[in-house]
Amino acid sequence: MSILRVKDVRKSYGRGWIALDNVSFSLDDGEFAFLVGSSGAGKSTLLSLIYMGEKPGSGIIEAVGFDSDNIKPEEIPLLRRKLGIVFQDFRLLPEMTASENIAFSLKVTGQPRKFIKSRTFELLSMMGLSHKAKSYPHELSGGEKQRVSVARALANNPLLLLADEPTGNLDPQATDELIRLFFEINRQGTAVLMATHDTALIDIAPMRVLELENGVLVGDRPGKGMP
Amino acid sequence: MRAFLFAIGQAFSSFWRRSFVTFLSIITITIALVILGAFLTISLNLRSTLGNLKRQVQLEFYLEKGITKADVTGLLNKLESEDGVESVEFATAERARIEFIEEFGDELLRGLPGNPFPPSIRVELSHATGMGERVTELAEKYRDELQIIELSAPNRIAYRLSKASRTFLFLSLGWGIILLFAATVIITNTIRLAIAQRGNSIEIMQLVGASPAFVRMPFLFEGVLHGALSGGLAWLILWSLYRGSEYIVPGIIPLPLIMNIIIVLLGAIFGGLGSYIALRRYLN
Repeated sequence: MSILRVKDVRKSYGRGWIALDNVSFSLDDGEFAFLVGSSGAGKSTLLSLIYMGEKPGSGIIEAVGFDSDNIKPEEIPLLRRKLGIVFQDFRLLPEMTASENIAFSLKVTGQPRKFIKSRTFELLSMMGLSHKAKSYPHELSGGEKQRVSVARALANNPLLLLADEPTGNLDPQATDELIRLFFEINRQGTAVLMATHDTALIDIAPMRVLELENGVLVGDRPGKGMP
Repeated sequence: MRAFLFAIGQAFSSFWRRSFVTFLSIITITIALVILGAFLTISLNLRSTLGNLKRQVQLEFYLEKGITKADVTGLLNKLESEDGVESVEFATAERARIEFIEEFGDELLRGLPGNPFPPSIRVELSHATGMGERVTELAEKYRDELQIIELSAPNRIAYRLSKASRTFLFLSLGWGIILLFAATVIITNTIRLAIAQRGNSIEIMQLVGASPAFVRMPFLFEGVLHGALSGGLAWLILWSLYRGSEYIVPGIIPLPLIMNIIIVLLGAIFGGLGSYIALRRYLN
C-alpha cells in the first residue's frame, strides 16, 4: 500500500524556471528510498510539496492520507503530525535543551505530560543522547544535533520520515552513524525518503534510488532490500 | 489548557527577551491612554462644574411697580409653559428688599426714599444642554412685554461652559479614537517584530504540526498583555496626576473606577486587535 503517491507533479517559479517537471512515483508503506540529484535538481522542492509547504502547479501529491488538491489549510498540521521532517541545518530551537526540543513536538500535538516525559526519555536513549538531555544546541556536536532533530521527527511515530540532506553538515563518522540510524528506523516500519546529493551514500546499501535531474525524474532504481 | 499555558509562558518570555522594544511600546501606549484619560477627566470636571452652575442660573424679569396681580398671573402662566423652564416664581418688591438686606445689610439702603427694588419674576431653567441659547431666546421673547422694565443678563459663563464642555467631550472622543488607532499601529508593529524575530521558531512549530491557534496564541497574548499593562500604568499615572492636581484645583473629580477599568480594558482590546492585524498580515 502506498504511503506516498506523486503523480504528474509540476512546479515552476517566476521567469519560467521549472523546478519539477512531470514527476511521478510512489512509495510503499515501510519502504526506504534515496532521492538523489545535484544541487538545484528539485529535491528540496519535492520534499516541500510533500509536507505541503507549498502546492504543486499541477499534478497531485497524496501523502499519509491527505492529497494536495483537497487538503484544507487547517488540515496541514494534521498531515505533518504523521510525517517526520529532518533538515540539513537541524532547525532546533536554540533556547531549548535537547530534551525540550524533542518534547516540543509532542507538546504542540497536545500529548499528556506524563507521556511526553516518557517518550522523550525513550527517544533520547534510542539516539544515545541520554547524557545530553539538558544540553542546549550550541553545546552539541553536529552529529548530536542531527540525532536530536531525528528524535524530534520520530516523536509522534510518523508514517513517513522525510530527510533533506541530513548528512550535509556532518563528518564521515557522524554520517555513517546517522545512515545506520535511518536504516534502523526504517526496519521498525517507518517509510523513509532521504534526499541527498552524496552519491557515496547510495553505495552503502542497495536501497531504492530516485534520481532527479533539472526537475525531471530520470531514474528509479529498485532496491534490493536492507543491508 | 496546555496550549493556553504555553501561550502565556511564551508571551511573558518574549517580554523579557525583547525588553527594549516592549518598554518602548508600553510607554507609547501608556502615554496615549493617559492623554485620553486626562481629556476625559477634564470633560468630566467641566460637566460637573456646569451642573453646579446650572442650579444657580436664573433669568429674572424686573416688573413695573404698579403691575396688577392679574398681569403677574398671566405672565407666570405664559413663562411656565415655555420649553426648558423648570419653575417660575414671583418675588415682590418687599421680598427683594429683605433678601438684599440679608445678604448685604441695610446700610446701603439708608437714605434712599422708599423701596428701590422692583417686583420680579424668577425663572429657573431646566437642563444644561442648550441652556445658553434658551436663556437668550427667552430674554428676547419677553423683552418687549408691556410690564417688563428690565431683564437680568443671562449667565454667559454657563453658556460658555456648556459649549466648552461639549467641545471637550467631542475632543476627548476624537483624541481617544486617534490615540487608540495609534496604539493599535504600535502594537501591530511590535508584534510584527516579534514574528520576524521568532520566524525560525514559528517555522519549526509549523513543521512539527502545531495548529495555527497554537502558533498564534502567544502573539495574541503578547498584544493583550502590552495593552493591559499600558492601561494599568495609565491608571496609576492618572491617579498620581489627580492627587497632584488636588492641591492646585481643590475639589477636582477623579475618573471613576469604572472609567479606569474601561481604560485598562480598552488597552487590552486594542492590544489584541493590534496583534490580530499583525498575525493576519505577517504570519502565513
